[in-house]
Amino acid sequence: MADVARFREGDRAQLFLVGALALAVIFVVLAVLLNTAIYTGNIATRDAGPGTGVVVEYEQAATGMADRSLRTVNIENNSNYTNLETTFNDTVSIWSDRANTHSSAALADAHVSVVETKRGTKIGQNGTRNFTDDNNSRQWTVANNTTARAFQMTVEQGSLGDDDLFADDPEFAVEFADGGEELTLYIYNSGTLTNDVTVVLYDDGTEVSECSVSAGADDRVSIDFSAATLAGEDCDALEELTSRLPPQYTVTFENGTYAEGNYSLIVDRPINKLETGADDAAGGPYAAWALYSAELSVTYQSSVIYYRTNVRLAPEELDA
Amino acid sequence: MRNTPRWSGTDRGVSTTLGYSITLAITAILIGGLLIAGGGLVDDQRDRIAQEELSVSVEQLASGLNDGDRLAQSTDGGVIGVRIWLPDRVAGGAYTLEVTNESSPADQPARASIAASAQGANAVATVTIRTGVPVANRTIIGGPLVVTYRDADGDGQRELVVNESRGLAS
Repeated sequence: MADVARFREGDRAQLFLVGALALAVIFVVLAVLLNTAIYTGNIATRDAGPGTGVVVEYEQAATGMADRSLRTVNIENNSNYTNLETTFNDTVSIWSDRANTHSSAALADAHVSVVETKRGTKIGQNGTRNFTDDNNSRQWTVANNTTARAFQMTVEQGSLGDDDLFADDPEFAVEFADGGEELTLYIYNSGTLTNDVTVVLYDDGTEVSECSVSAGADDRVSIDFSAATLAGEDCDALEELTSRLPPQYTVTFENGTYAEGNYSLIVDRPINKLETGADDAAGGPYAAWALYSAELSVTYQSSVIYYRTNVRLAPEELDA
Repeated sequence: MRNTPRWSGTDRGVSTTLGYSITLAITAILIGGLLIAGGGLVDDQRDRIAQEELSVSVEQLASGLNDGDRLAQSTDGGVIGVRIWLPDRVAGGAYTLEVTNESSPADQPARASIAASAQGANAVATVTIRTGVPVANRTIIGGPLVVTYRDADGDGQRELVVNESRGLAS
């Protein structure tokens, strides 16, 4: 009687109690797991990765800025190298500080600075004149043992040597030689039949390729060695030329009396170490202080990304 | 009248005990069944959730590697660090990530596979990515990671290397 009475007094549910507790624990664990699942779903729908697009954008903006600066810095204040370097360094430094204000809003620290600049020389002829040197020599060295960038030329068709290579008229030629290999680009008027300006590339005396174009209404044709275009059109001969150029070469003009117009190029040799027939003082072709290339250090740092790289800039380099 | 005292006396406990035992047994079976079913449910859910978390983790690591790859391709000799915040545990247990460089034809982009397996749960997730630069073979414990770009195996060629989180620029 005593036992039965005890159970009847409400102590009989131990098993239910234990079972209920165990089930409660299971439900709690289940709830925690479901919570984890929801959290995982949340993470899965967030932006994937830290997003390096902004870093690449910054680097491109910085190099774009420096590229434009390097193209334009040689136009003004180019009376000595110190002026050029100061202008270029200041431009980069000011841009870096201004841009850093914007990147601070994204909790990032971004900098661009100039590691070094390479001194070069700008050689050119602004007014229309034949392509001889200052002493009117028709064959002369434009720049020795160098590399060139931003090499453009505008020629007047009427001034060019007539007919093809085997005709009597000598053809104006630009020669790139490194002692061994000799790349010669002949520029001539293809004659009265087609009346085109033709460009032919010879590699050590062997013809490689040619292209021609008719001159515009002003009788002028522009030749862009850097972009490999003839009057704005792609030119195989110029493309072949840039792909075959040795690391260093001497640029020579031949038969300079058979071409008139203007040209400009920037070479990577400082003006005091350059052998050239261009001399500003005597009129005609000039040689001026210029910056050839620059090396930049670009750094971008945030809580999730660190990026530091050096970028070399030589706008419109011929063998680039 | 003779019987009445017997039923209301100590003899009646026999059937009460029997009834109690039966109730006890049925209750035990029912609760045991519930516990087993509940335990199984929790186990299944745990595996499923571990699976989901591993999938998310490998996708995030893949995304981080692709980010690192993008930066690596835009620099020649630069320093790269990309931090990926992965969870330390999935479904309450640690997990392992295995990054393997897969061979690919010479003119094709590099390939890498990322496999994740959870400890204490029956779950595995894998993903294969294509990268512009090779990825170093690596086995790491899950958690915050850093992707760097350096020559890890001394072959003179730099690879994307996944490490447990340290300084970004290291």
